[in-house]
Amino acid sequence: MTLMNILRKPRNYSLRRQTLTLVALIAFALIAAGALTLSFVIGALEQTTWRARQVEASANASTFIGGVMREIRLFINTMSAAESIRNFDEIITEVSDQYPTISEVVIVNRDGIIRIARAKDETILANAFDIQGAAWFTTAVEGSSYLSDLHFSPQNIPYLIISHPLPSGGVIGLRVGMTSFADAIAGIQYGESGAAYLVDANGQLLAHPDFALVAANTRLGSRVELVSALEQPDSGWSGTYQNFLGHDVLGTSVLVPNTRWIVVTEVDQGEAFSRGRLLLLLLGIAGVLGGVVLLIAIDLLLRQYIFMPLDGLREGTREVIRGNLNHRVLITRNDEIGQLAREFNMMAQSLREGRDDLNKNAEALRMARDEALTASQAAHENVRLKSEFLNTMSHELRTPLNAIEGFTSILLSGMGVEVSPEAHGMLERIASNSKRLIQLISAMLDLSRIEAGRLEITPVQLSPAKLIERWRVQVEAQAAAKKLKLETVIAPDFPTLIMGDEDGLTKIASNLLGNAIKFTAQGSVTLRMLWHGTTWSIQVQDTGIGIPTDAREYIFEEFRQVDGSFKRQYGGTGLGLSIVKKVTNLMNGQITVESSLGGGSTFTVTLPVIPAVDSSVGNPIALTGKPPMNIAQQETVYAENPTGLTR
Amino acid sequence: MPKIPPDLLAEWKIVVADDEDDSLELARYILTFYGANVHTAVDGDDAFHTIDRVRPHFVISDLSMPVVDGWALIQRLKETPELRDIPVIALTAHAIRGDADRAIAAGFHNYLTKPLTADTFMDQLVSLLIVIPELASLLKF
Repeated sequence: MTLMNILRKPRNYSLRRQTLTLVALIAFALIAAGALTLSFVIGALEQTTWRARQVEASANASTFIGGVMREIRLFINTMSAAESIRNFDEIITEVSDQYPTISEVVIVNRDGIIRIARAKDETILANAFDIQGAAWFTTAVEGSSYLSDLHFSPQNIPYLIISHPLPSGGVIGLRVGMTSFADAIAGIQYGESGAAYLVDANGQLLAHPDFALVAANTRLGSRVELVSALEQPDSGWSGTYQNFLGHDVLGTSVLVPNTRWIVVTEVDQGEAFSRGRLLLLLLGIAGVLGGVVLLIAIDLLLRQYIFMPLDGLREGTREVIRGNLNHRVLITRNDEIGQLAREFNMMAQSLREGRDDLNKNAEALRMARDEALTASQAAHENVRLKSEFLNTMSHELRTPLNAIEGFTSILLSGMGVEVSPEAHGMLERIASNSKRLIQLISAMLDLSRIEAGRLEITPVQLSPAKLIERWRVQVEAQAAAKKLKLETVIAPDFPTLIMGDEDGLTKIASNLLGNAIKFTAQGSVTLRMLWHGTTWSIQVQDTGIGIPTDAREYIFEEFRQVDGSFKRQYGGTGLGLSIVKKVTNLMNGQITVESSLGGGSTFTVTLPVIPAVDSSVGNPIALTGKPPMNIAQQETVYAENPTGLTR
Repeated sequence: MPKIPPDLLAEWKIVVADDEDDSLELARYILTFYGANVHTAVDGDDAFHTIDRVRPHFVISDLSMPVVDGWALIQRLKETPELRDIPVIALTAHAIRGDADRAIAAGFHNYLTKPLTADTFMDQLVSLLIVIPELASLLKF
């Protein structure tokens, strides 16, 4: 399952794959090394075990054969010690049953004449025609022991001839049947293929389970396994080799006691090592399975302790990337990963708090903006309503007053109606009061319009000469009524055209002039236009009552005159200077006052010079609404009737 | 007593249009006093028909009137060939800034500013009439 995952999604688990690959490589290298070592150890153990088994298996046979040969020697010794033939005969008869392997005994004298011959089966040695020429006789008669090669009886039974010189000068010859030896050798059996054979010191095969090989007079002296065995017959030898039958075998040689013969015990390598190989195979499978189990276990551990927490952290990171700051990683451990998870959670918490704060602030900002918007809309609506109200009030207040003023003027002018002198006086009071009321309403509406932001300043090109003349005309009747000298002065360096808002400038000039005339009992009122380069001034100087120093702070406020008593004495709305101040501010100008009690006052409004942008804007005709010649015409007309304008 | 002769406007036909009854009466009275034959109208439509019928020497028309106001009236007069040469003087409320300039631009001969009083109304009117040659010659000083 986990390995399948590794194979299926290698890119998603690269760290895991790398770790597992490394672990797998190390594990399999260790397993391979272990298996190799084990195979050597097992091989050696097997060989040792088999050699022990072979030695053990061949022990009985070799002991038996060795025993037989010793007994034969003892027999020969016994025979050598016997003095008489009779003794020989007795001994042979006595002991022949005790030596089953001795098939025939022949005693000959030194001339080769048979003295005694006894055979258990057939007579072979004694039957020989040429005993004197036989090797066993010739060798022994000269004083040496003799051991023949393998011979075969007419019944094809293998035998050996052993001869030994006798003290009497004769020779004793023995025929030893190999049947019991062969039986002993054939009795050596172990395992399934385990078998043994007997060779003599020359390497001739003496006994073998397969008699045909023996009958074939097989000689093995030159074979490798026997060369070393024959060279050092006492120490024994063991090894793996291909035997003379072409089989791969594990073989062990054992020296037969009392002889120079060797028992070679062999077992097929296939059998010898089959268990070891099986064991090795099983170990290999176990190793591979163990490795796989180890890998799975390591993978599980890695998943449990590293990759699953890492996945949790990755998932958390992805959630944070998606903007889900409420996600928390659920790892409650105290190791590095646990700390990382805790710190990750703290980070997410911190981010969320930050975002919440931001959202809260944003929400507050939105609400504030909405409120401001609503307030602004309400303010706009208020301004609109106020403007509408002002326009309506302006019209509605003026209309009846206009009617009162108009009809009173008709009555006073005597236009087709006669009024008594008393009524005339009353009508004059009515006219005077309605005029005051109109002035007050005009001033209040002007002020309201300024405060509502409805007084727009639109500079156009103006002629200073015409302006100052117009302003003079407006008040000359008032001045004349109080017998004041009214002067107008334009500075010589004053330009012939300037930019300005005629309505606003007129409000300033007429209010200042009106005040000056109002508060001056005798003397003069002078209107000046002064040029300063970047600024210019409208200045009104009078020789009136003056303003106390402490009063200069509030004379520009609404409804304030120097004190209440002035109002009774001088009348007026108390709004004039306030209007002047506000219009001056709208034009970015400044107003200053110089005054001394009883020494007259000088009001100066200083305004910035506005550069002309388009000469076509300043059409004096359009501005005044009258042809330029009108003023001249007026003067012509009213020169005859100056009182027509004065009231 | 005014120096303007009482028969200054004798035999003149004048149409005055104003929706305000007091204002209309004031103008009618003063103009009649100086000998004029005054025809009054209470709105622009009334004024147009009166002008068409009477063919006055000149017209005095308030600017703000119900239904057909002074502006519509001057437009209709200027669009009517046989009436377009009759001088029309606008009557403006003192407070409405810019009306004066607009009025001249719209085709009014000139304007008079309320309030109308016995003295100033005639002074202003004469100063306007005197610059219209065909009318100036008819003034009876």
